[in-house]
Amino acid sequence: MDSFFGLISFVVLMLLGYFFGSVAEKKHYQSILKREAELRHIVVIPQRFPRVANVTESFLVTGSVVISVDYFKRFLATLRMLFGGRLTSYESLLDRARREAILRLQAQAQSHNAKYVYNLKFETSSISKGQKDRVGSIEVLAYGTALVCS
Amino acid sequence: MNERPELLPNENPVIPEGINVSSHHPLRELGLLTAGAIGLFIVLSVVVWSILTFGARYIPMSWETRLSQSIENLLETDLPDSQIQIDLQSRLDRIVQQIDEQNTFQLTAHYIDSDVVNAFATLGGHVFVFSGLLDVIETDVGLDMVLAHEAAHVLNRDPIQAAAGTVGLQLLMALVTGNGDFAQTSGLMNMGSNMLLLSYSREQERAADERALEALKALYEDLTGADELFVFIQNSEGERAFPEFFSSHPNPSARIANIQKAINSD
Repeated sequence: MDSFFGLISFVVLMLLGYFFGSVAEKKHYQSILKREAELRHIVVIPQRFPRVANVTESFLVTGSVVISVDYFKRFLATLRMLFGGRLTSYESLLDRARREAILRLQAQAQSHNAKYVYNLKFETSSISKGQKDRVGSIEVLAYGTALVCS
Repeated sequence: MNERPELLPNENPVIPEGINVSSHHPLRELGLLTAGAIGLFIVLSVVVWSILTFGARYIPMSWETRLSQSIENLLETDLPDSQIQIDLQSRLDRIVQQIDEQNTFQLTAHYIDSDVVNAFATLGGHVFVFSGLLDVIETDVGLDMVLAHEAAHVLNRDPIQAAAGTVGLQLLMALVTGNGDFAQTSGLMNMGSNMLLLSYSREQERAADERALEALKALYEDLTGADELFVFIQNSEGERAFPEFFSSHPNPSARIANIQKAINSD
């Protein structure tokens, strides 16, 4: 009886994870594409030394985001870890997180009238490493130097 | 130092999609991986079961007896020296004499006062008979058939084989699921009731029936009525009436057929 309820809860979690996970992902990507178009004029460059003239201000800007893995993605990754290979279920997660982090960084720069962000770097960490039965989450931090030109 | 001035972009470029993300559908990947994992698990289970049941035959009976010492304490036997217990033990001894040529096995009969219609053999040569079964069986040959069948299981080393296979499978499950409770709850040292009621394969059951009939042929002229218990179980609407019987003994109809064939072959 125990294992039957376990199976039922597993199937329910999988369905919820798949359904809500894919809806959330689609909406997030739509939002990302829209904002990337809007913030395209805030130039982000990984280069260290700016080649911009007339810099009046420079300061740190950051953009960070935490995205959680859903149950479906996590189970898929667990199966994949048996056989090895690319964890495709996590790839989209990381892609979204990085792009979102950049967008937030750009938004912060824009709020201070900065047009460029130099020395862009990323930090990725996971808040809960997903021990045993808990789903994990991914945090991406993007930071750089914002430049305000006159 | 590079003298050429850097070309400063006016805006960020449009990055094409699909480079950092894979395009195949997650459900397809799930199906593929699940099929692979299940296939792998089945193969491993079969291998583990075969190896362990094959090797268990060579475990000495003395080791098995030592393992089973906790069994005697587990099920409280009512009336340990009652006439019924003594009678069952003497029947068992008589039967074992017919099939244990080298006289290597020591079987002990246990009588449990309970309405359950069942009898089973477990590790260490212990044969348990419930009073419910004794109430149902009316003929000598019927009772001896049951006892002989359980005795045959012991002589064929079925209990230790089934126990070894089950432990192996549980270990495999624990490894796959990463469940650390295995050592505490399912170790062989801890004889829960699930270890008593071992389930034997159809092949083992058939072999036990054959050996039982062999013993009965030496003791009885006429084997009519040997299938008494199975006929009763079959007629009493089967699984709903006797779940314990069906968890440890499958398929009464096939067994009735086999017994009838043996009777008619004389």
